[in-house]
Amino acid sequence: MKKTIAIILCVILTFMAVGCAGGAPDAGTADSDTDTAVDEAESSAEEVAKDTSEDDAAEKVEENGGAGEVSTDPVKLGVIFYSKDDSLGQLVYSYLNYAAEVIDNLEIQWVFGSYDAASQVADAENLIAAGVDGIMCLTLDDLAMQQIANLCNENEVYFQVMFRMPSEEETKAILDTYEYYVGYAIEDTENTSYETVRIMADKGIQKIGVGGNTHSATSTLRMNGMEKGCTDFNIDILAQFDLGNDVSSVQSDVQNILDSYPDVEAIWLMSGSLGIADITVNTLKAHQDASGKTVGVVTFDTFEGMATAFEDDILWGAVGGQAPLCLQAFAALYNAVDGHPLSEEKVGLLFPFLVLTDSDDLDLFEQYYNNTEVQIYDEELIKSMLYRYNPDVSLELLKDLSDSYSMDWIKEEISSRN
Amino acid sequence: MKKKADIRQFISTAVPYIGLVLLIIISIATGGKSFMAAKNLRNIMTQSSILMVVAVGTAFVMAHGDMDFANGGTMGLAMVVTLALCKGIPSWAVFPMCLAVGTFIGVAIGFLVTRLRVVAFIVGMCIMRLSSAILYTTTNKKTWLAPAGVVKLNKPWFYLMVCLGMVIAGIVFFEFTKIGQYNKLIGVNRNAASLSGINVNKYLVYSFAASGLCAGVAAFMTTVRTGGLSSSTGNYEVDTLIALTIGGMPLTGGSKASIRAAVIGALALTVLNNILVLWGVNADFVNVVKGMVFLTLVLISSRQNAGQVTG
Repeated sequence: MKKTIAIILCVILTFMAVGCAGGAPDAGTADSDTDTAVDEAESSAEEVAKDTSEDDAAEKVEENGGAGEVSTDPVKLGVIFYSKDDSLGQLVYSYLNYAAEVIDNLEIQWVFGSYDAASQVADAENLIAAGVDGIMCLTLDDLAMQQIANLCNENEVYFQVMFRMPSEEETKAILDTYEYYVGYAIEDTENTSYETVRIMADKGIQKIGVGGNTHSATSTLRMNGMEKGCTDFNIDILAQFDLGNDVSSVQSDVQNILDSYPDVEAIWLMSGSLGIADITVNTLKAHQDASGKTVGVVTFDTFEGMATAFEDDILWGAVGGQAPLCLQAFAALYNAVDGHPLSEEKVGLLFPFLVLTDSDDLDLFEQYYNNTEVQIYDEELIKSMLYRYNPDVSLELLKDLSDSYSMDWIKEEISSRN
Repeated sequence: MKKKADIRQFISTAVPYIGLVLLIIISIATGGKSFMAAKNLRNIMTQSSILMVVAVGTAFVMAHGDMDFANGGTMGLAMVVTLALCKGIPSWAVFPMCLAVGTFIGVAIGFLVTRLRVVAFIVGMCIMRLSSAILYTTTNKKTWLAPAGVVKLNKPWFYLMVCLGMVIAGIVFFEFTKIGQYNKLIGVNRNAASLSGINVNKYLVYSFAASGLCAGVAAFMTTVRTGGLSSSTGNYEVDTLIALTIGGMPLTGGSKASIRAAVIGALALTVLNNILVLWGVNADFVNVVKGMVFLTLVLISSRQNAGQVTG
């Protein structure tokens, strides 16, 4: 009886609340969101940029005979990303938030922490309910890609994939049929992987151990590039260990290779994140100290102990620097939402990695890239990728920009601002 | 004195409801039209349905005091086996196939726990790892797509019907049959249950079978929702545990175990996720808010259940 009364009371309360909520302000839009954006954008320089952009927009409307092709409506984009705590996540978070600061009508809403397709679909549903105009997502797999693209298409919300691409032709064909699917932007993974093998080949290495797996489309591309490189440069893979989510076994895996294959000359790692590279370097350093023999490591991802590892000549190559890719993906999405897609076709953008091979590279990398205080793409550059500010923007411009991306370019670009 | 105890009992039972209602009231007050929009309510229903079904099954295992960490792994394995065979079977057969595989795994876990005396928690972890390895191996070359007939079911009514059916069936089996009653009794005192003539092992196996069956149903729902099989399928272990805990399920099982914990917990968890996105809360605070809400609810739940098992 008491349980029943409790249930009835709760139902009554809920209905009372529903009844009272009819006139409640819509917190998902307008005021609260504007407040946040304004708080973040309250510097005099930004005010100038805002004025300029409004003038630009007005001029463009005039140029177009008042046809209103350049919308002054706010653009709200949702970003689904796995985390903002690791190196890549921090930079992507910083870069896109900076874009939201310098573009006057842009608001970005973040969702973090989904590690399966169903959760990512749920995130997309929630973002659509929150009223976003477009969604950018590092999709975990082709299924998530298809489902989110379908969902976005049904709700007339634009969808851009970043740091991933459809791994199967079937998925690509399905995505291409969706009007609101803009395209993908991905790192030049396979070629970079191939180049990492060249680093070892240039040192005369012929026998290596490999840490990797083919659990995802990206890891498969990395492994493919490595295997192709090994074939072309006549490098033997003596042994391979699985790099899963559990990093606790990495030390023993590397040690086992060193013990079982005394002639191993280097370790190639498909991923160095989550401490994998640090653990490997430490194991190789201990081996170097004990035996006097240096076994080097080449790895995807950058890590804490790179400086010492380069000094000890244990680290021969580290791959990273791809975070600005998110801004290219953003530009493709923003232009589509703004009514000026970069291409009639689906956009496929390839972005290069930075490959660090010595301490000098690392110094530049730490100074300019691995630093959330530094915006590699500044306000001017970001705006140059958007039709709203640059009617001459094209897909080629974005491609040229990504083609020129290198450590030297970053240095030049940032020096030119001072 | 008895009146005081009755009031305390009433309050402790009502706490999860009050928590959910408060959460909903806050969501309505702050989310306004966006939260109450029909589309968003459909989202909440769809998103909570799979978790709810998994939690209903897990409630049977938790009723006797075990931790079920096998539900996600069972889902993954049910999907692998079913989709591996689905090329040779019609679309309608996918559902019973998922059920059969899920139940089979549940029964197997039950035998491992009761006959070979392996701790349920450990078996669950093994199933989780096994499923993860098989999923990685099977999906690394090619995504496994579900038959078109199955994907067509991806409509809100489908999730509502399945979820309602499973919750009602769960309540019936949990409250009105020996499977639920005896498992709760085992949770209160296993020795007493055994001495009173209950075949403890048999009812433990039944509880794992129920959990496996629900995981099978959830596997089918996930197949419909995602359109196929991916390496990340079945990450429900932690969410299920959180949902049941905040829904008021005693971690040690016993007489206070109930299916309502699955319903309330799954809804609360989904509503919280949903409103945080609708609010557009700064991403820095999302996990803080979630953590605080969960901690508060778990603290309340733990306090209300303290002494309940022995009492």
